[in-house]
Amino acid sequence: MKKGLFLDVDGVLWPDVSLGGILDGFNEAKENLTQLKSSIFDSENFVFLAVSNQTLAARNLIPEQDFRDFVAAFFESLVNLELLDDYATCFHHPKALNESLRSTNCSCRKPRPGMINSLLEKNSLSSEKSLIVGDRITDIIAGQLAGLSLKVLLSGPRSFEFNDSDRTELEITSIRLKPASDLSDVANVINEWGFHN
Amino acid sequence: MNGGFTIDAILILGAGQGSRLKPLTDNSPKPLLSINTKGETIVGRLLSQIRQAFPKAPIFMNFNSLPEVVVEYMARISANLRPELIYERIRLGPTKSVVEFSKLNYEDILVINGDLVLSNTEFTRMSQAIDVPNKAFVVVHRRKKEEARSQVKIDANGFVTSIMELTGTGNHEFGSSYEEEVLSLSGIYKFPTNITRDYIAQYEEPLSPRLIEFWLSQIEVKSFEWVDLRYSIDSLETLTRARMQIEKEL
Repeated sequence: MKKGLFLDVDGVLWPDVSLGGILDGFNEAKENLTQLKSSIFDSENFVFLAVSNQTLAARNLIPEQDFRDFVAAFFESLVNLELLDDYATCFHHPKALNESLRSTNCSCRKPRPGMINSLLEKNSLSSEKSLIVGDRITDIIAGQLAGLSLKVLLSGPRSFEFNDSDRTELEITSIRLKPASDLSDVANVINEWGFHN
Repeated sequence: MNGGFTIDAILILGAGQGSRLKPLTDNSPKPLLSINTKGETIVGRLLSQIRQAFPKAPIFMNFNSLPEVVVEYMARISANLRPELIYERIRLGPTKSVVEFSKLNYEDILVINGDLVLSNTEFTRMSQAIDVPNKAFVVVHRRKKEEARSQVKIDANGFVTSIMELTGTGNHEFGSSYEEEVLSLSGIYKFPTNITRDYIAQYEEPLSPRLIEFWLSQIEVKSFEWVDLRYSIDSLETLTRARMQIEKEL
């Protein structure tokens, strides 16, 4: 059985410096995915999956349908380049200005595990053989709630920021994670983990 | 079993608040304080000693305060020393942390307080002595009774017969000398997790008598006695003494 490698995108495939990093993040995503794939010893045994909260439309900064089309085209292009195998996106936000995207209890928005669970099922992957890489503790919590074996947190000054509206019903108190300094270090951590799994 | 060793996993307790070392701990959790002029940290030294003694056992460390600082530090140390981290969003206290950890699938685990500065020689001697499958060990050291927080009584074969919690200064009994020494817990424990897995910790307290009393009711607990350098960094004074000792070692 293949192993699932879930990747957050903002702050992982491109720097998380401002809202809307996805709008001009394509080339960096392409380069970073290429580099990551070549650095993982047995990358052919991994299914590469992107899981992303995208809130530009919820914030009314871009018309919803335009943004949905853009994000789909963005990830489809990476799939066509065989850099990604699949992806899932949550467009909701608990305080969305766009009412159709306002949701306090959608199952998809990280730290909830909905996107991960649906991709695990869709791609016939085992959570125990899968991992997530993220730059926020919310990515790690989503991975833990989905039962992923390894959760890799990229270090950064905002790694532990937690939106109050995302605290809600989460009762998780202990969160297991492996720290990494950057994407090339992530490959080291994955290789070490893959060696034992 | 792990590469010829019986320790299956190691948990470093690093989720304390470091309140007695403020303001030093305002920007750095206690285990990340440096202990020599080369910038070696308390936990960095501990990780090297652990890895040398147990080359393949997975190492974990729990943490709570200043999480970004901990992750930043750990992300930059070498991969073979880097522990898996357990972030406690709500501080559990050492006993509950150990009980939670015992739910993972490891049999024999070693728990080490993250504020210990230990002699390399003693660490090796200790790790060899306690590396016995399915046995529980507590590491003890002699100290003046009025300075001890716990008193461990052992029989002639080193088996623990009782553990008492002491309440800081004024522990001396009527007629006893202030200089009386007792065996006291050292902040290192080794036990098979099956004896702890179902224990429901009800008290947030230092990892000591209550949990170990429970072990004693389930299993024989043996002791190992330190004789060399050992500092539990709980004040500026102990930190300074440890730093001076380490500098001498270098």
